[in-house]
Amino acid sequence: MINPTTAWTAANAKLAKKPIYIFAIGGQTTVYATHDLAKEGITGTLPAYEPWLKIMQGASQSIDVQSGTSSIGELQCEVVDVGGAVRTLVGTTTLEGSTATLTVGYPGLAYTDFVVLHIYTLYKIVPQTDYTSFLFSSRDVQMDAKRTIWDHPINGSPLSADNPWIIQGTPCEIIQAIWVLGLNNDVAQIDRATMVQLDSPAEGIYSSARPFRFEMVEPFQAKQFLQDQIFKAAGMYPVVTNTGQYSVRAYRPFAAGPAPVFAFSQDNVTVLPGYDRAPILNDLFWQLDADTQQNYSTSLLYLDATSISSFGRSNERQVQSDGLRTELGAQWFAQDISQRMFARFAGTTGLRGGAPLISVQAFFATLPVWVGDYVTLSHPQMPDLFSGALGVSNRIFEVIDRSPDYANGRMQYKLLDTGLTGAAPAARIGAAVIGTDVIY
Amino acid sequence: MGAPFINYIPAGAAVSLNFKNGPLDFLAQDSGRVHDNLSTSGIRERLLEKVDILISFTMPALLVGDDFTDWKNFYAWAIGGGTFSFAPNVSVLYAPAPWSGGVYFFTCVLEDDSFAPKRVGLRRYSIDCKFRVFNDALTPANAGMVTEAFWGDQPL
Repeated sequence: MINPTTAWTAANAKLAKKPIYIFAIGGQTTVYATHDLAKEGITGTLPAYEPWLKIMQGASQSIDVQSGTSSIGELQCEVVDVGGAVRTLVGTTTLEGSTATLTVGYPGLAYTDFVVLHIYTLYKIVPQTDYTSFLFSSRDVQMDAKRTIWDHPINGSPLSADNPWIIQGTPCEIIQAIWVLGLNNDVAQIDRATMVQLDSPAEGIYSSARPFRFEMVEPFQAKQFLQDQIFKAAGMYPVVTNTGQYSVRAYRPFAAGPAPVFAFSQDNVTVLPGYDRAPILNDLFWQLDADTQQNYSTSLLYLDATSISSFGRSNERQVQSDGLRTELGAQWFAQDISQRMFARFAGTTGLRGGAPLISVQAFFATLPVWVGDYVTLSHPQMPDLFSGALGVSNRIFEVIDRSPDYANGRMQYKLLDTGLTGAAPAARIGAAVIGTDVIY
Repeated sequence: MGAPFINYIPAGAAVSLNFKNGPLDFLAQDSGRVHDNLSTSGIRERLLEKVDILISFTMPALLVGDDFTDWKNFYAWAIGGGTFSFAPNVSVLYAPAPWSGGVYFFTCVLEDDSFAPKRVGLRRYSIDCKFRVFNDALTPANAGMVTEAFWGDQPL
């Protein structure tokens, strides 16, 4: 969820509004806006700007929860080349590799009220076919992980059997090691706060699990490694936040339970929500305890018998993680993750089949909703697949696809229902204070 | 009543285009670029991109060898996309800055992409003109101000 100011939220909630976008390129003092900021009453200290920005395209993000993958977001901003100024800039400055920041605000707001929608990295700048404008293409931070790690980050020598890089820890600790040490990326590019919370003992999600120990003896691509070896094995998926940070979400909400950040209803969706179903997942085949030749000495098969007998079919997914080690508790971990994934996707927790996937087209006012958020959906005309009644009320969903349509001023989402509605917060031991110490 | 007036700079030197006859069917319109979202319960959300001011009129009987040449030259330059100054009525003076009591004018670009005269008589041709008001410090707040100025009133 984007966290805007109160003034921005009020302006965004209005039924008649005029979004003003600003596109800024890292290292450049002049920004490009869709409107004349001063004439629109934007207050405060304004940057040097030119009202040459046309409406943007792209910046969608789509998650495959079962595979632990996320699409790479791409944003395209077209800037009109007034008097050849953009041509001169593009022709005299290397802009590829710079940050591309898109912000949005409304007339009359302070400039500091503008909220960041995306921070991507520029990778291509080309003139449009008629040469009257330039198209700035940028991609999200996942591109920074789509690189091969060749060398041991500690000694700088190539990875080999004689020079292995040992990576060990919780899933989040390994993500941070790959990001900061392996890729040598800025730590500010990752959402450490969420990762620390996922590892928090009070949350009980990954704190007690350090089942991974990788011996990296040959070069590997970081993004692929994280998806195949960590996310899929840990029931996680990556999310790129609006501030451009690389973050992750786990197989369940934090201990306090799912906290919906937005309520979709008949008053803000523009077409009747569409139903689909995620694939049923009731068969997980794990391979672990790999040697350096990726020969797995342990295989585990977990089945959801109730699901298989109910639906008459099994749908197997394979998880092969070279770092999962029996001696580190990997078998317990595999069993736990299997149970978690079956609870979400085996269709036996009242879902009557694959987890419902709802397509929603909505007002532009829903803009702050982000991938990975929990939201509610209510609509009196939706069939309730779990009761047979007409109408759905305050059902909790997880946003797994977000597609802004800036040109037409509307939003599209895909919402995943894994049966969280009515789930109680995780039980936890109450805190006691003795003196100045908080005892859990 | 004063006539409209155009000033443009084709090659470093300003050229004044005087209207020898008044235009017909002078219209100034607010044209909003809007995107409407209608919720399933009937609530409408409207997003406004921009309200463009478009001006259209007809020059009814340009005489070849006389004012036809002025308009031909203007179009030959303006089709290229250059901005020009347009005063709806040279007799209308406007007190606020930056006009500061001078003739009320603003900046326009040509919306037409062709010079397409229509024959109306011997050596006489008419042209339908369409201007788009350019977005700068001189831009009128709305199209009604253009209409008021055209008829000799103070734009409000």
